[in-house]
Amino acid sequence: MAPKRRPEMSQVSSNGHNEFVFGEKGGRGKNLLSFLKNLSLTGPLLNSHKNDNSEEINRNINSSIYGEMTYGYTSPDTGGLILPKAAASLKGKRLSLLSFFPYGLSKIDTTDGSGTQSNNGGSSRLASPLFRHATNSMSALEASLRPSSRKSGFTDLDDDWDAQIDDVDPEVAPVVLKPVARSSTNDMIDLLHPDLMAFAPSLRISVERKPSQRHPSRDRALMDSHDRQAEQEVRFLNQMLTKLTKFQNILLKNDGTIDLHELRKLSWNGVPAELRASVWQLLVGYLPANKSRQASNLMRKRSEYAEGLKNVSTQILFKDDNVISSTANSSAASVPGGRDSNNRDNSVNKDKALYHQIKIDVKRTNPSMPLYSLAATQQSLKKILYLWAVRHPASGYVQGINDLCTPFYQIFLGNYIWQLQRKAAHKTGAPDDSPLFIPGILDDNDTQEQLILEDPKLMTYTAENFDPSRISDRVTAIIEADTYWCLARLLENITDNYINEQPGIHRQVSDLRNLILKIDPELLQHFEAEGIEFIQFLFRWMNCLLMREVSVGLIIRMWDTYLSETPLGFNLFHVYVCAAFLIKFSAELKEKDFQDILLFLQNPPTANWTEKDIEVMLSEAFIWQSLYVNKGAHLR
Amino acid sequence: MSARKKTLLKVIVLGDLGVGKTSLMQQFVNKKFSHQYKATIGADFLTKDLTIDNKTVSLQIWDTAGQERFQSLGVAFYRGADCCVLCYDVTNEKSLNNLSSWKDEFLVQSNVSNPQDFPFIIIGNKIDVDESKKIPSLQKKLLNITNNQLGGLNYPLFETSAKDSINVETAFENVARMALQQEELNGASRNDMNDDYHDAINIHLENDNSGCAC
Ligand SMILES: Nc1nc2c(ncn2[C@@H]2O[C@H](COP(=O)(O)OP(=O)(O)OP(=O)(O)O)[C@@H](O)[C@H]2O)c(=O)[nH]1
Ligand SMILES: [Mg+2]
Repeated sequence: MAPKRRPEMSQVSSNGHNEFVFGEKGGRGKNLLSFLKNLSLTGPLLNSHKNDNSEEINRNINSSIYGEMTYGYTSPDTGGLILPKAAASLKGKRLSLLSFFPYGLSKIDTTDGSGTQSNNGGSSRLASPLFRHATNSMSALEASLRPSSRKSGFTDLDDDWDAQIDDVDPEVAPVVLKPVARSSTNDMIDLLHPDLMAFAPSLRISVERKPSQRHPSRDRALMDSHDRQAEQEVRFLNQMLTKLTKFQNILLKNDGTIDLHELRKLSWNGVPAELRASVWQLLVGYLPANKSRQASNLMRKRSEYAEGLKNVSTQILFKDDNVISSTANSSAASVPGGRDSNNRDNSVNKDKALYHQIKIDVKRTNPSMPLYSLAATQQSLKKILYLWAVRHPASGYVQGINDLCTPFYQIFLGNYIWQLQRKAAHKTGAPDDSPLFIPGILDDNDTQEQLILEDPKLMTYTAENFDPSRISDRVTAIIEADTYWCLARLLENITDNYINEQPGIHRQVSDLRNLILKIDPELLQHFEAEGIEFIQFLFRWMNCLLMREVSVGLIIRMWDTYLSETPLGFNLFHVYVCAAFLIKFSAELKEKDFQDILLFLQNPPTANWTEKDIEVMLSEAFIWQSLYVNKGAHLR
Repeated sequence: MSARKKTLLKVIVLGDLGVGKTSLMQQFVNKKFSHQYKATIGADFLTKDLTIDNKTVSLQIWDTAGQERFQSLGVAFYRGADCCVLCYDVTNEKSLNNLSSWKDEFLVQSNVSNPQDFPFIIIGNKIDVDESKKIPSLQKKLLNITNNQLGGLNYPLFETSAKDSINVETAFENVARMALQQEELNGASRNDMNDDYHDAINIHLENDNSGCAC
């Protein structure tokens, strides 16, 4: 089947801008609409499901919070008042406010502050060619979304569209837009991605509220900065609460089986920190969706890990820096027959070399984060990486896999701390949220666990300020096992990236190059003129999944999305993400020569990035994937 | 600033994983040492301007990854090299023994025009460590390796410490000098071109584009 050329959806280049054309008459809106559908599921004020009980709860939460905010305002100090009231409004709900924010409310302020700060930088970076164009085509889309014109909007759709997207059901079209003129990219993002507006400095509310609920006499324009900050805080809280409620509804559904399809849709836009460990385990296929099987499955997997380790650690001890081959000499000597003992010697030497390599790399893993310089952490990583390598001889240990291990490790460590925090809070009368716990971790007979529970500073701990050497061997083994299996699942998605010659990476690089040829041919031309080969900078982007270019906190957010893709996004989707990442810097790169391009791409300026930047990038990647997913032939 | 175009010299740094290639390059280029360097993936690119015999040269250095798995990548980085630095770790005998296979690998993948007299240089790093940790009878082993005409590693050798900044500068000044000679040798045969990438790239592109005509 020869791929048909579809001029209406290919990029048009003019004046150095490359733009996607979504059809002359807005016909491409169908794609954007489903994009919206996908993105807006966790939006705070959107009704994505009719008659859904959770929506009822959300509305209550919303209205009580917004109620406080909008009408209960009496002093510039409102920000301080909201939090307790928000908590009060949650009484009788499944979780207390504290359980949402185990690290204390002050943390929220910080997050909010930094989010606000970086917002300006964030939105100015949105002016990528795609979004510039998309802004233009949004007016058409918007028209199609407005109730009065929605029908005609849909009949206009080009059904010949061949990107793989879910059909959109007009019944659940989630966004009710205020029919105002939108021109800035900021508005565009508001529309595409309500979540992104959490910290927006402007107080535009993009979703219609009942006019009767508005305070008639308060003019928003007169609000001072305190008010703005307060409202931002409220929005932020509001969104987090809504999001959490949605996740809980999926995770705690009574029929015993978690709806993974729904979970993926929700998680694509980010998973709340407290639930991330269990959600990731579900998404990656480690924790069974069927709840009755969860505890037994995990138990089996965890003991499998322990057994595996026992078998390898007779040859290699992980205790300290020296490679101690406890049985190598003695067993070689005791086995009769020269050849046999030679083989054994060889394999012991190979194991030693492998261990040596892993040891060097673990020391160099994420050195900027204190957690990874702790002996207990390093020992866990060594075990996990070593076992994975000997169990996957076709690839063995490849540098970069150490990086991939860290998000799982720190999320699962953090989850244990969170469970302990919840347990400690329970003693003082907070509601029990154990149904959200990953099974089989807490144990009343674990004396080290009891000590941590009694630690007065327990509530202040996170994976970043806690020394895992305080954890019992029992729990250490659990965290390692969970990390091991999730890492193994991830690596299954990209097996070809680490086997001999790394063909997976070479394919990804060539796919990306061809994608850039479609999206930004001038950038490609410039690279060629300067003698840049894509492999020269892309190899690391692929081999380490951008973990060297983006901070681990943001990588974790990216993985929420990657893990929600089917198949997992570490392979195919990642190529589109890298394209979005590269094109973000397109204008700058076109001004640079060979040397400066390489130096720039080796150290791209992401230090001030926030989740919002990541989410914009993911959204762009999503659009490109939708455009090109069925066009393998074009990419090859 | 002189209007004359700077001479670009391309240098490749090879050697086993963990011998300290990245630390050496950081010491040479940025004058610092840190225990926080991550393992190199693929290769890192660095530049440094030097004055050699009154001539300003610009070194373009590829600090490559030591892991065997990445060796198939070499061709993307080795091409057009003017000098190749072979590194070992004075505490790790295996890294010393691997030098000749690094050299062979380089010659195969870089496709240099003069493999017989292509400039290589050997760096033994980490001499700051305790004598007891060093390879036993290192000097003897070194003599064996470098004097052995068959083994073919009869190249200038420098012992360095990236940590304590011993001999690093000197070693790389020599690298630059040798690279300059090689460049002048090569430059004579291709003086029309202002850089040496176009050739290679165009070949590459033709291959890549052959897949799809649409
Ligand atoms: N004592 C000592 N240690 C060093 C020296 N140079 C490097 N190291 C240490 O050796 C380890 C490896 O150093 P790197 O520079 O990352 O090694 P590399 O050769 O770049 O390794 P790959 O990138 O994996 O190929 C690190 O722990 C360094 O701190 C040195 O001169 N003296
Ligand atoms: Mg290195």
